[in-house]
Amino acid sequence: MITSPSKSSTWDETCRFEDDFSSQNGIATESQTFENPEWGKCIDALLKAWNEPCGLGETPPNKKAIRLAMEWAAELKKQFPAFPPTCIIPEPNGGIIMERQIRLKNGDKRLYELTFYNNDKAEWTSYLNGKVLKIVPVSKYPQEHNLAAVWA
Amino acid sequence: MTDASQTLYRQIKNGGNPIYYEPNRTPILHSAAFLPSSQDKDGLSVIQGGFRTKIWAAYRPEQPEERFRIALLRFDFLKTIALDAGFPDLQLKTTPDQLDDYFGIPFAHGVLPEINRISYDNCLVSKKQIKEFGKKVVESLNSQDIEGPFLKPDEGVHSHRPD
Repeated sequence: MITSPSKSSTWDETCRFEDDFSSQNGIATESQTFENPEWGKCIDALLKAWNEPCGLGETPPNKKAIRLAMEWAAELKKQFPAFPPTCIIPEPNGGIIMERQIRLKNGDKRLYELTFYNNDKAEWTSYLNGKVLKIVPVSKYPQEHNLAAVWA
Repeated sequence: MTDASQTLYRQIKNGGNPIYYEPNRTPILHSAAFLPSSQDKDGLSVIQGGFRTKIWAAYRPEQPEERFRIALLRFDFLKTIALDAGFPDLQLKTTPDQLDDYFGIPFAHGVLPEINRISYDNCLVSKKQIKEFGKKVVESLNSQDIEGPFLKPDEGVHSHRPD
């Protein structure tokens, strides 16, 4: 179960798909209807990577990884227009990492990372204050996941 | 015997730069700069600062036109971070690179064997530990700890050994 930080602050050894992570499409709330213009820059950056992948490291992201990142970005943008990534960066062994940082009211730092590897696999990692809470594989289809648990 | 108080340099590759970066984001680097790549099967590459100058530490003969920056890291501090991430005794293993082959002993290039790509790819617990290690390293860095990019070094002008 993807739970709030206060309820889950230790590494989940099972690291498997869990009920809350399966399809329960998150719904954009009123506070999320404003579209942050940074989303446009993120999509442009992915398009640029698509067109010019060389120069993005010794093992640059391939088209599969970039396409997957773009599909996830499009869906996240649709559902969370106010919450663009804080960073998009090549994975050192080939792929794309898309990150969102959240500063919680109590000062804790929550961080989500979606990693799209060149081998067509993808995973979601959640951190709390630098500690990994979960590493969970994700599918090609963002609609299959509870995106509120992944990104919000 | 490895000197735990020594400074290590980690090359920050051009490809390690983000393709998108939210302007107010901290820390200054993403932890991907400290994740092992396919080149790091035997461990994360570092240069021992006692045996190579910064300008040479930021240079790779196999990529002569690439300009790298370097992150300055205290080995004893890395050991503390590694301990917190689940590596009780982070090692530094000397493994000569092309410049070591050219300049000879003492060799400057080394690896942190625990931070290797094979474990990262094949063991979920290791992946979790290595990701945490990378996050803690970047959280510990400030702008003074990142230097470069440097000019292409010239053997006639730039010494490869620190004074």
